[in-house]
Amino acid sequence: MSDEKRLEEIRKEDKKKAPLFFIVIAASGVLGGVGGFFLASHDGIWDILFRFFRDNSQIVTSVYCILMLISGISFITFCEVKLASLKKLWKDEADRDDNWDRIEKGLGVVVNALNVGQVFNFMLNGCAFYNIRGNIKSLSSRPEIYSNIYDISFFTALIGFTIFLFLFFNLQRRAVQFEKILNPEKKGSVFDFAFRKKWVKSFDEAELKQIGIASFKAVSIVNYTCISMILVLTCLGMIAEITVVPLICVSIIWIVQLIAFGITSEKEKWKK
Amino acid sequence: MALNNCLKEYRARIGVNQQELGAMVHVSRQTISLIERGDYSPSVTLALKLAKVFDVKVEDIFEYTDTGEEEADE
Repeated sequence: MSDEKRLEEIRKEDKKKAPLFFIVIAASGVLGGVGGFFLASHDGIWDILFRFFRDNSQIVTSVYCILMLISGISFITFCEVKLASLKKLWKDEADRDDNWDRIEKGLGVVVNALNVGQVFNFMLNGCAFYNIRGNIKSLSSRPEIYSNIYDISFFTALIGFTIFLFLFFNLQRRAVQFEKILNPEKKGSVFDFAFRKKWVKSFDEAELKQIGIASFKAVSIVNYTCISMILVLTCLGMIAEITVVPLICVSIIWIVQLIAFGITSEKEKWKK
Repeated sequence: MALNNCLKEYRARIGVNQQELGAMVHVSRQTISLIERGDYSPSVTLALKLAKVFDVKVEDIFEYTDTGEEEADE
């Protein structure tokens, strides 16, 4: 097929899809404008909300500390119970072949839950530590009991975070151990800093295809999430004092993801 | 799926389970399961390895049928 014919085909395909694309973009713009107008017209509410969190950050951080404990205990309990039930299934040698797929699916759920739990642990701990000593806005006259609450929250968050970190790591080690029993060809120790590299290297062709598709979908979803967050933060920044830090953080994550995916894709394309 | 296979039958003939067959051709049990269900088409290398294990030709295990689905998608 000649270049001109091919170009003609490409233009035809673009012409078919372009109208809907521009309609959606225009509709999103209108919706964004209406949403922005609504936010700006109710900026009083946002002022009250942000002022509350700013002036009472040390009390709010105590709430984050409690949320961190609840989240950590919930995730760890769920993963422990699930892992124990999977190991029980595995012990039943008579029905092992029938249960195998079920066990592997269950192990996937455990690993995903552990990853999400870890993120919540870090996030809620960061929130619990935020302005815990009142450095950003000190309360000149505060009841003594508040000072005790801050100290209790701070040390509880610190100790809780450390314990959860250890428990999550231990659960991940046991999950990896179980995975290696199910699939003896898997290599890598969780105590090895090069664990991820060795683990991926022990993937076979089907598993590599799966993670390739999963990676691409993850990149697409994170793209949509980042652009939505940037739009929301931009609108919020126009009406409330949120600083540019959240915007920059989201942008850094987006850029790093895109560059990492792009470079890795190119490297794999030309690998010998 | 245009690629049919009788991998399960050949595996039963030599009396190995999916994990054992996977170990023989250096893939995971899950991959063997995916191939047997027809949810994954193995690479040429893997197909040749499987044929070697059973001491048969690749065409004895795998059969390609042109269903015309790929043309319909285009």
